[in-house]
Amino acid sequence: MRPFLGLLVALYSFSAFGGERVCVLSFFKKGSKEQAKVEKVFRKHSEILLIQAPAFSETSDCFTGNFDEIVWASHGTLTGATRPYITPVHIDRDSSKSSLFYRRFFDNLAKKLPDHPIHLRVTYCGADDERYPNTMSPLWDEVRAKGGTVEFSPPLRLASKLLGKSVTNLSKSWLSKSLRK
Amino acid sequence: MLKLKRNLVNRRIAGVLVICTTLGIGATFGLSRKVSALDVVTAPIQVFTHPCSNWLRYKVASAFCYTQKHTYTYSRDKGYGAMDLVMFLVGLPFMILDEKTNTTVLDVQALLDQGYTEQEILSYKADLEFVDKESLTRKVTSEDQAINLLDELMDAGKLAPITVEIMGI
Repeated sequence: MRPFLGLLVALYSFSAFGGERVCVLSFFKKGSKEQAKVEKVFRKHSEILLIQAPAFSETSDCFTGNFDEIVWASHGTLTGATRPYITPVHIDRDSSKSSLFYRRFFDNLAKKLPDHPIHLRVTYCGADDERYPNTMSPLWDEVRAKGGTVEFSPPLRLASKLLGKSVTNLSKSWLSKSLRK
Repeated sequence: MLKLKRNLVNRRIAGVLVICTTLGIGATFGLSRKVSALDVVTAPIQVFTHPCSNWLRYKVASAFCYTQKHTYTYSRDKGYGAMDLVMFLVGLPFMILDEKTNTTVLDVQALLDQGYTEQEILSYKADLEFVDKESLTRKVTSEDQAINLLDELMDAGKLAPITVEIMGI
């Protein structure tokens, strides 16, 4: 009886709010402060599909689904042996091991984007740093080409100045902008 | 007299400690440069090989077994290191989303999941082994030499596109 009631409630809330309209991709280690922060902001909102440490395939599903808005929260890094580039960091859900997203992934993702416009909100260090190539830029270009928008979390100005590259933080207020008003 | 002797002994011990500490710090900085230089050439190779079983060859390989460190690009920016503390203090109130201090792992499955083909991954592996061999042949001992080698190999078209893309050459 209980599972049936749970299903009923889920169906009701789904229809009442018009389904999940926002997909939140949170690439942080299990038990980390970052993961807890994202969880705290989004967990009680039925219109949000929150995926913690998503696999590459789940990330892809989020972009190819019917979402109006996608939030990307992860670490970012400046890498490259002789020609530096910026890329977000992937976390494996089971092992918590970090790996990097490479350009091919975003090239493929850009090709699979649905035709409706998406509002993509991105927070990781260096995402908006135009001095270096970014592996995620093919995806941003395609989102914009399809009438969507890409929004970056504001950088920490003093820290960015000291480091000589753009750094940002995981801000609760910035994340909360994706909640239904 | 005995007290004087004790003082002298204490002073000597203190002196030795200071010298050892200074040498230790110096050695640490010296080593970090070497690690950094080796890192450029060898770090990606460890994805597919087992450098830890070959201590004579890499000497400091245990520092980065199966990991790809992302610090070497920063070490090229002069003065960056001195700003670490300031940066730490500035960043205290925030959760800064920078992965600079951590290490990441690169495995075949992660590459396959991101859309690279098995053939490309094999090319990448072959390139890493090639770079490894070249670095040994040319006795690469500094970061600049390592960077020059990678640039030269890329300009000569000896590296596959996947290698250039992933390694950032």
